[in-house]
Amino acid sequence: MKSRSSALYGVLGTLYCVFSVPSFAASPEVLGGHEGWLDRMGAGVRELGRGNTGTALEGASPAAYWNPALLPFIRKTEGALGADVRSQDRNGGFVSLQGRVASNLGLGGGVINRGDLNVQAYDKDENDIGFARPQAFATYFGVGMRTSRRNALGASLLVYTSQLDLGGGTGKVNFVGGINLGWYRRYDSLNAANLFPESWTSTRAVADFFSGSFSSAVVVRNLGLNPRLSAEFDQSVSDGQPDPFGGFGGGTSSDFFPKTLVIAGEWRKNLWDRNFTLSGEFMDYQLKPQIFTPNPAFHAQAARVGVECELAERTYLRAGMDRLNPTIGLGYGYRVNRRRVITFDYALTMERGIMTFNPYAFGIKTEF
Amino acid sequence: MIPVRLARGLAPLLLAAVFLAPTCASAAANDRLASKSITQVYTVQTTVFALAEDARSFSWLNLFVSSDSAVGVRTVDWPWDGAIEGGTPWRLSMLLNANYTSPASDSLRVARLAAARSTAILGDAPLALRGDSLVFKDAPVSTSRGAALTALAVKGDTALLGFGRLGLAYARLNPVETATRLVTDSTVSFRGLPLADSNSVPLITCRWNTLCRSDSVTVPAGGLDSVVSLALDTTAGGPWILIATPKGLRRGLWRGTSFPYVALPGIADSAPEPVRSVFVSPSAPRAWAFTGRKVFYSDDHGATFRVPPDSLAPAFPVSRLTNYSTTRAPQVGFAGDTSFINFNMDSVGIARFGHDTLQVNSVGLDLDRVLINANDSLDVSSEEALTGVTVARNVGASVLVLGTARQGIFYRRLDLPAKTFVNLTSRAALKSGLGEVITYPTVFAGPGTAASPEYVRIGYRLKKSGKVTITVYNYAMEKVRTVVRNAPRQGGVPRSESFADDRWDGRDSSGRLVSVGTYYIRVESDQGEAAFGKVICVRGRK
Repeated sequence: MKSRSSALYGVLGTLYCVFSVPSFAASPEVLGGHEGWLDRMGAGVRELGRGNTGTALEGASPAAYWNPALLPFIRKTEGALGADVRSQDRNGGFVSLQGRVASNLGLGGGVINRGDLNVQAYDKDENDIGFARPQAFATYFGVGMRTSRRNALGASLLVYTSQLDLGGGTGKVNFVGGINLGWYRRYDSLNAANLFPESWTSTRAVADFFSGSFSSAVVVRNLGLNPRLSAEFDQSVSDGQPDPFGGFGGGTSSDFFPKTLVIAGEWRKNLWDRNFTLSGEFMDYQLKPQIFTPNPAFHAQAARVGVECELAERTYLRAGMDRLNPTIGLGYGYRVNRRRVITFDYALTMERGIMTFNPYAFGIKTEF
Repeated sequence: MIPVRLARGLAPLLLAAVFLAPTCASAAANDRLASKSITQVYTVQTTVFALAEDARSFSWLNLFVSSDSAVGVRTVDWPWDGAIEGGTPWRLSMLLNANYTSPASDSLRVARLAAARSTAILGDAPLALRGDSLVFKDAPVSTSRGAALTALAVKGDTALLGFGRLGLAYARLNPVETATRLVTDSTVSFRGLPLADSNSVPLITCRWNTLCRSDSVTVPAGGLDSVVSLALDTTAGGPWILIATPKGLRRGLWRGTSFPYVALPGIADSAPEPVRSVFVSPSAPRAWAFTGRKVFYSDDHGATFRVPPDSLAPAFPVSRLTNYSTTRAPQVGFAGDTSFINFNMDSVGIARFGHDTLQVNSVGLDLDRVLINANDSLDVSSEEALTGVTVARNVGASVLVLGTARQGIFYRRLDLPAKTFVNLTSRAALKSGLGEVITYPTVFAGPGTAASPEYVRIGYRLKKSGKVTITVYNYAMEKVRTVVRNAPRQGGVPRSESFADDRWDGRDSSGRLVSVGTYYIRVESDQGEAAFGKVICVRGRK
């Protein structure tokens, strides 16, 4: 009875995440710079192709970012690498190395990069001061531990650096101390029909269709090591040289990463002799450096959905919707030998806000 | 074997990462504005008009200080087609000093008025006065028309015109900026300045910009003086008019009739020297007058004049300030109690006159010794190249503007000692057809204070006139703020024509400061043009 009710909660949670997408996706979103790429654009080309859903995805890369509780479910040590270039010279990439080090313990690390390769910079008087190439790197070190066969908890540490490459020291960020906490649970071979009385024939038929494997996850990102539990950082604004940016003479300026609550679910089933995966994520961003504020003015929400289909053996077609931005992905696993597969991933994204397609996103992943 | 296959698999990725990135990072090649030959600069409140002579055409450089103390620049081609009612095809060869205390939009009209100097005012009447710029009864047609506007001063909606030997005339300006007719008066009365008498005399009344119907001009005994330059002192009662003439300096009240000569030290009444230019401070009782060989200043609104003693500038005594350029009279720009003087001499350029000091940059002294600080980057190959000086003022801000013969315009903020000279020609020329959008400052440390807010300026150049929408996006290309929506903008203008509107304060649509990071500003026109600019915000929200 206990397992039945917990399974019910899992199913309901997943369905909530999946079907609440349209309403939350229409919410106003005003998140800006650093979190704009870190928590809005995700990491991993496979995940990108399926709508940037990776929080409840076993084998997500880098799991230390997506959900450190996924780490103990990684069977082999694996490494991944990816890069993408988007419109307006935005560049990005990631590298990860992760795996299980004990039967119930996984470790992983990953670096996520985002930046802009070409910002023509002028001062206030419109003098050309060169090209800026703002680049940010978020490095995560994560550990995950299984508390049961299907349940795991994890935590990761964020080390963040950013610079403008413009000289003068302006724009540097060096931050250590962001914490991500994650929980992950899987429900294998769940027969949803058993959740309903036998007299509910039609309901059980629908539930039977949705029977399969489920997983759910909850992650809180960007917790800080201070009384506000807020991931706050300082950015250098001027190095003391004569005021090249319009009269601001201060040395540093402070900002924070928004606390992000992610509730995610995934449903896996074999349909028409093909493996399907349907994922959904709901995110709430708190835009105030406090432990928690109930004021909705300081919260923004977003949602993502993604689907992956194994068209043929180790050949994947993916699609998704990240805050109403559609994505399409392809994956192919090349078997090197009986024990090793190298997977190549590709993703095409569309950014609806400016109606632009981004066709350059490639990734590779292998097991060791 | 496995490493080889792995390498083969990685190769396309690495190649994509290495080669695609530079391809997508299109280099923003920036043309430079061609160097301009500036012939005149003058100020109307916060707006500086600079006349640039480029081959046979003229264009405006409109430089102004906005309410937030930023210096904005836009270049405007001179739209005047010379179609003045009854006028002859004109050729703009000079701009005259104007001091007009009306909204900035009126300044263009003043400038147009000054530009119309060759407009025919007199015609086929049998006027007898011969001399500079008067109409002659029996002269050949080619020389029988036209009275040159030689000087201009403006007070309120009224212009004081100097027409050489025709003397002075008042004309009310047309309040409609786009009107063909520049003045509302249908007739203009000229009052001559007799050489032998301080009282002006009525000479002739003509219809504005059309043929004059008078039969003759009554020339007083002794002849008429000629108006070379005008300056209007509105800081004291009066206001007072200072008139530079070939026979000396005259002074009289606004709409007065008496203009006696002012005594200039060292110049005998029996051997007058022509005064070539006269300037009056808009905020202090100081005035300057220049003859061909001497310089005089006044601290009492022009009632009396003195010669700066040599002791003010031991390194370069004032008595050596002689032999000004024969083609350009000295010019003065005022900033509070300080006067910036361009002597237009081969060896002497800008001088700075304070309460009791006069710093002159003689040969061997760099301009930084005289002007601002050691970091000033004003670099003109010859002081002779300086052709104009003026100061634009706003609340808490003032900008010194220098015109040069070969390198366009230099300007610098006087109220910010750390600022150095900026050459307009160093500013990026925007591609036409909205090929690019620039932001300045690109690295934005705003938002400043409530009293002095900071903005990111958005510069672009439309190919066609249309309605423009400017939107700010974050790095994930989510809309952060719509700065301007469907606002009409003129095509072909090298900078945004709406300096006050096309800017971003670093806030989102809810008025909250955005977080640090890179932002993308999209400018799009309803004519199908669109481009992005970028801003890096370095000011955090905490």
